[in-house]
Amino acid sequence: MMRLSDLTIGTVATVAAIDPGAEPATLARLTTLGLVVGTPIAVERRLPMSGPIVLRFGGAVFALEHATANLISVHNTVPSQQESL
Amino acid sequence: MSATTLPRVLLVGKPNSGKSLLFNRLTGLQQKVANFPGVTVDVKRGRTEDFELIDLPGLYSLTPISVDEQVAVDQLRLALADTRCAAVICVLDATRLERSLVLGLEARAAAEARGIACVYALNMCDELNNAKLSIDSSGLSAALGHPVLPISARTRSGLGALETQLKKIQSAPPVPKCQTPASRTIDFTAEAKQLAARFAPQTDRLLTRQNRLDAFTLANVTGFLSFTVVMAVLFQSIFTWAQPLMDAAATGLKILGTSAAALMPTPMLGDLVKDGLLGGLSAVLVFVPQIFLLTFIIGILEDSGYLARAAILCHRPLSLLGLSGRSFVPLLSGHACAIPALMAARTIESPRARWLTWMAIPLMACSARLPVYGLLIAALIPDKRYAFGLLGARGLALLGLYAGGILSGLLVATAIDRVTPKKTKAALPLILEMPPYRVPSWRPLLRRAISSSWAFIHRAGGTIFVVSLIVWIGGYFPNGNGHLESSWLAGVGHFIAPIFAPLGLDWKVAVAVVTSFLAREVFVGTLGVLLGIEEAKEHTDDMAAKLQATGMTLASGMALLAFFAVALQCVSTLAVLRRESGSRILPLAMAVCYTVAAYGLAYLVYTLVNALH
Repeated sequence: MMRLSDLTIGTVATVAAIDPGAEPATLARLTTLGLVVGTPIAVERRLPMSGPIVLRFGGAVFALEHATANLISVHNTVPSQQESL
Repeated sequence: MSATTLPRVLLVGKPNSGKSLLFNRLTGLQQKVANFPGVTVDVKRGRTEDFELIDLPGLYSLTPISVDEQVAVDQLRLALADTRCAAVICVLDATRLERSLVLGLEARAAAEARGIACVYALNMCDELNNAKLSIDSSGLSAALGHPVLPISARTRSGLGALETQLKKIQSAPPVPKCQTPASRTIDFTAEAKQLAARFAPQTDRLLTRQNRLDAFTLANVTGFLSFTVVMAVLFQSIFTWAQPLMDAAATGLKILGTSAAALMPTPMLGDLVKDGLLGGLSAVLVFVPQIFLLTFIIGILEDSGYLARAAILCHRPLSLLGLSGRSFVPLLSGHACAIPALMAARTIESPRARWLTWMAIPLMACSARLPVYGLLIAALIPDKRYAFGLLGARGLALLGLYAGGILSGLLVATAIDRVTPKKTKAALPLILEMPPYRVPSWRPLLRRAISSSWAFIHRAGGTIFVVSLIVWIGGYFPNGNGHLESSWLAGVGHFIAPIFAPLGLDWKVAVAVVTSFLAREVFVGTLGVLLGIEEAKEHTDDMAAKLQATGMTLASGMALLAFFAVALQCVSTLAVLRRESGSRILPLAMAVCYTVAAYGLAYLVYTLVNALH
C-alpha cells in the first residue's frame, strides 16, 4: 500500500488507512480537519529533503509534516493529469 | 451608552476566514486593537453603533490541541457565559465551507444552549462569484436553522444586511434555550461533511488556482531564492529606506528642542527641556519610521498569505535545530518587539519547540536595540562606501548585528535542544493551513503599523522621560551645566564604574548601561543627558559627535555593541515570559544567563579588537 508521503505532485488518491499507533492528538486533529478513511486527497506541492507536503482535502489546503504524511496509507491513486488552470 | 453596557456580539470562525477584516470593517476606527500584526492570539474588542464587538481567535473546533487553541476555547466559553452576550456571528469561508462548518456547528450548539442568537456570515462571496461559483445561502440557512448572510468583508458587500440583522436581534424577544444532546467534535465533523456535500460548490479548481504562485514560491530553487529576496527587502527597509524619514524626524525634533528651550523662562529649564527631555527622546523617536516600515512590511507578508509559505519552507531546517516552521513568525516579529513575538509563539504546536523559541526571541535585534546600535555605529564607524556607493560600512555593520542576532538565537536554541534530555512523548506535528494568496487591504495594514509605532513612542516616551529627568537632576546639581564631574550622579557613577572599566568604558557609559536595564533605548536617553550637561557650550547637537569626543575607542564601542546584542534588558519581556511560561524561574534564569553571557562576550570582543589593532 502506498503512503501519502510517496505520492508525486498532482496525484489524486483516497485515504485507505491511518496508522492507529500515531499520537491521539494528531489523529484527533486530522479527523477535525476532515482527513479520515475514504477522504479524497490531492498532492499540491512537495518540499525537498523530507520537508512538508501540501495537500488539498476536506475543501481546503493544508501542509502536513513528512512524518505525518507517512502515517497515512492511500489507494485509488491517479497520477498527475496535467490540468491547465 | 457606554461600552460597558452595550450588548456584546462575538465573532467566531476558523482561522483565515476573514474575521479580522470583518471586525475592522464593522468597527472602523473604534477598536482597541492589539498593537502588532500576527495571528490573532488575543481577543480584540471594538464597538459598532449598537454593539460591543469581540473578535475571538480562529478555531477549527472547540476541541483544542495546542496552547493557543486552549486559550481561545476558554475565551469563547467565557464570552458566551457573559450575560451581556447577545449574539454570535459565525464567519464561514464560502470557498472552504466544509472546514468552516465544523466550528460553525459547534458554536451554534453552544449558543443555542445558552439562548444566544446565532447568525452566519458567509464571507468571501466575491472570490466565489469571480470563480463563477455560488452557494444556496437560503437553503443552507434552512438546514442550519439560522440566518446565513452572504458577505464580502473585502468589498464591503452585504455588511449593511449583517448590521440590520444584528439590530433585528437586539429588538427581538430573547431566544429560548435549546439543549441538544452533547455531541463530540467527530459528530460535528461528519455533519459538516454532509452539509458541505449538499451546499458547497466544487472548489477544487479554485483552490488550486488560488495557490498557483506556490509553483514558484515553494519550488526547489525559486522557493529558496524568493524567500531570500523577501527577507532582504524586509531588512533593507530597516537600513536604507527609512533613512529620509529618519532625517526628517531628526531635523524636526531638533527644531522642536531649540524652540521649546527658547520659550523657557530660565536657562536652567531650557537646558532641562533641550538636553534632559527632548535630547534623550529624540534620539529614540528618530527610529519611529523604522518601526512603522517593519510592521507594515511584515503585515503585507502576513496578509498576502506569504508567511504561511515561509513557515513551511523553514520547517525542515528549523526542525533540525529543535524549532518548528511555526517559530518563523515569532522570530521575525521579534525584530519589531519581543513581546508580541513571545505571544505569537503560542501557535507553535510542540511545547519543546515553543520553549526553545522563547530562548531565541530575546536575541533578535528588536526595535529598542536600534537606537543603541545606531548611535554607536555612527560614533565609531566611518561613513565609508564600497561598490560604487551601493554598500556602506555603517549599513554593513548594522546588517552584521542583525545577522548576528539571528545566528546567535538559532545557535542557543539548538544548543539547549541538544543538551536537555528529550521526553519520550512525541511533539505535536505541524499541520498548517495554506491560505490563498491575496492582495492585502491597505487600511488594516496602515492601522496596525501606526498602532505599533504609537506603542513604541508611548513606551519610549514614558520610561525615557522619567529616567532622563532623574538623570538630568542627578547630573545637573549642585553645580549646573559643564560641571558633570562634581555632580551628585558622578558620585554614584564612580561607584559602579569599576564594573565596566575592564571594557574601557567610563562612568557615564556605566550609568547609561545600568539605566538601560529598564528599557534598552534609555541608554541613548541617559547618555544624551549626561553628555549634554558635560558640554556646557553647544558646539554640536549631534550625539554621535559628542560620543566620539569622549574618546571612546573602537574596541570599547564594539564591546558595548556585543553587550547590547545579547543582554536581556527588557522588564516587559520578562513579565510576558513569566505569564506565557507560568514559571518565575525561567525569566529570571534567562535574564541572569544572558546578561552574564553578554558581559563575557563584550570582554572577549574588547580583547580581540584591541589585539587586532
